[in-house]
Amino acid sequence: MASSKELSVLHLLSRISAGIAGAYCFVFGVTTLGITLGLGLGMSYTDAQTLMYLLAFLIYTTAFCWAFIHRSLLTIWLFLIGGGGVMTALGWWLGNHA
Amino acid sequence: MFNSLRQAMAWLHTWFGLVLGYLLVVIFFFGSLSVFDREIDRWVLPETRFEPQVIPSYSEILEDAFSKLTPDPDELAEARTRVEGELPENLRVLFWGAYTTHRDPTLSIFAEYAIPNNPDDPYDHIHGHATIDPRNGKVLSEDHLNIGSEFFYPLHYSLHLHWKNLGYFIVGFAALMMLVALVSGVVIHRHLFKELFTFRRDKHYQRRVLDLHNLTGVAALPFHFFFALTGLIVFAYIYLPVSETLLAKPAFEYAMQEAEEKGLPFEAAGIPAATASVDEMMAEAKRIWALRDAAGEVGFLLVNHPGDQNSYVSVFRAGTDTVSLVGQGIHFDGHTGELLYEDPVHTAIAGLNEFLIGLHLQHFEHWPLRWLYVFGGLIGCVCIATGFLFFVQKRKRELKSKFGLRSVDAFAVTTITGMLLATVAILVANRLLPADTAGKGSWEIAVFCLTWLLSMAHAFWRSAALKKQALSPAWHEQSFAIAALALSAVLLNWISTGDHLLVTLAEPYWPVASFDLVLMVVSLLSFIIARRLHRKVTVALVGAQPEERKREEVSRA
Amino acid sequence: MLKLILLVLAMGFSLSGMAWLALTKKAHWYQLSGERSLPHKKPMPYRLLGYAALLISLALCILADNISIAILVWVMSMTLAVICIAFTLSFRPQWLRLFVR
Repeated sequence: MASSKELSVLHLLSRISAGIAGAYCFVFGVTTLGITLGLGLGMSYTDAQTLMYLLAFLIYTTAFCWAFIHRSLLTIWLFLIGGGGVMTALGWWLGNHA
Repeated sequence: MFNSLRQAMAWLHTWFGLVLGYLLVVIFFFGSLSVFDREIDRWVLPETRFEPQVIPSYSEILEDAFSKLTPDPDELAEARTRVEGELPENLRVLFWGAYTTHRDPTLSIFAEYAIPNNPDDPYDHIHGHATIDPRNGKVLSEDHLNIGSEFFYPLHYSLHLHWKNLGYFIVGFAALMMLVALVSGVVIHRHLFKELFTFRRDKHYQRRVLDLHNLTGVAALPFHFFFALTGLIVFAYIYLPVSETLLAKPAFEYAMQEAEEKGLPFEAAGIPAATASVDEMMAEAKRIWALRDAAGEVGFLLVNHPGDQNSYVSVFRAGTDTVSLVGQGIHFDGHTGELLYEDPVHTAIAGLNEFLIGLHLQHFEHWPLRWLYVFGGLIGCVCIATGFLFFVQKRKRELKSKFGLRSVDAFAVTTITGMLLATVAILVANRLLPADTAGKGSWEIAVFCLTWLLSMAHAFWRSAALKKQALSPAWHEQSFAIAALALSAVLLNWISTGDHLLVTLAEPYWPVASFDLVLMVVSLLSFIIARRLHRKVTVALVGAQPEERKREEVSRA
Repeated sequence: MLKLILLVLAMGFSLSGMAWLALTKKAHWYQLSGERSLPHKKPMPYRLLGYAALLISLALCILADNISIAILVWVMSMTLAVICIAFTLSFRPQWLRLFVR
């Protein structure tokens, strides 16, 4: 982990927004993709959605904390927003076209 | 950014805890009150002080009450702006519903009406709602606010900010930060189990506050964790609206397919038809539950597409003896009365979900557990408030140089004593305002908000004393006010209804008796605390500034 | 009535269990046993007693209610018990002497 010298306001704000918005985006992706994958595995829509809702907030908490632990801000943003975006798109596509 | 995991977690715990601490105290406090929301309703609405009732007869009471329901005027006006052309005089009813629990003397009935000609949404609809006396079908005045279930309870989960569900999102974010605070708290706590039973009351103030914070945090950790988590799960559909947006198509297809498989018509046929006896259907449902060794009452009744050939009636069992909510639905053909479908046994996921949501929403009949929940919720308030006081104490020197300390302390007063003051004030207002006051509920809410604002102004004004002493006089002054108001609430209940404790305890009518008793305990405790704080302030004034006093004496001499 | 008795007993076992578990902590052992210099020799039996009492408490809760409710009652009774024992240790520790053997 980096030294506390790097603790600038901008850096901190970036982490906070990654924690709040990035983690939300990530969880939205997990939920969308998770439901469609659940449907693919033969679950009912209700069950698939319930399962993702049960997991979503645990995942959010983990992702949020991770945004303050991991060293590289770039990785955090890429993983949370990028990963969330890709999963959302993939989930939407699978759900509507596959 | 941080040198260690513990440092990162400590930063999160401190700052997010501080920013959302005020809000979390409010959420926990009104959540604790909501455990007894129905009982508070009885206290504030004397005309509803009778025994809880089961769902009444359909032919004698419900059918008539349902057909008298009308769409909510506000929703209707808004719907007019969404449609092309005029709305028909009588909107088609999508369903009628009635819902009750083992604690409700009154019955909540509601309806959904189809809005035709909306180019954007073919399934557009609005709602209607009323509360009736199930013994005679009489509609209870809309002007009367159920302060417990319609004010304290929604305050707990939505802060009454309904614009774009803003309040739900704020509360949801606070709940997530509660989860984060719990995780980070466990990481940074050095002696989680070693100091599980530790409260060192003879140590200095800062140590005592931290001990209390750790004790209440760890002892009630399961409660804190599961209530924050399940609260989020209850409103997950608002926070993660995938099924109405990105996955609307598969979700809708599934709903259609499910309705078809169950033989429950998704849409009305448009052909009028007579309705079979709903009372017989309810009796049949109860017989089926009894056969399953789960005899019970009807908690939820739905009449779908009433008066249509495709009409069907769903009867759900009240979850009085389990943690789950209403369930075990039995569905009947509304026209012929024959049984269409019985809900199957839960899948594992649905069962877990029911348990988690049920443990938060508490439909069960278990009074000791309810009191334990209140205890857990109040312990949560203590945990958050002490965390907050610890923060102030630790940074007193840094804060003193700035304007910070005064506002932090004033906010603490507003959140803790101000909130209690507003709560007892709305009860006093409820007993003082005549029952036939137009818009009585709005006046009561106005008193609540005004009291809270005044307590904030008072807290800021009195915090000026913090320059000279450690404790703001606002604390004890507001505590005295709480003691006085809580006691007057009990007395006013006696004067306005005649239901004093001797009457309610002798009967016994527990909702009113126990709420009166709670108010008296609150009054007594507030008085004791106020006196102690007052003494502390006086002692601090005399003791803390010996030099200043000396100077005064010298100048006097 | 039977249910109430079972629940009161369950609460009693929760309290006793937590009292015994408190005795496995050095600070409270010294506080209650009066032994100052001796090392804490026997946390194990107290730990076993504590866990056994908590399990009995769970069993009583299950006897009293549907299992889903029983679990909630049990968890909440332990929360209450921890807080009660902590405050007793700090205000009236002599009340807990009877748990020391």
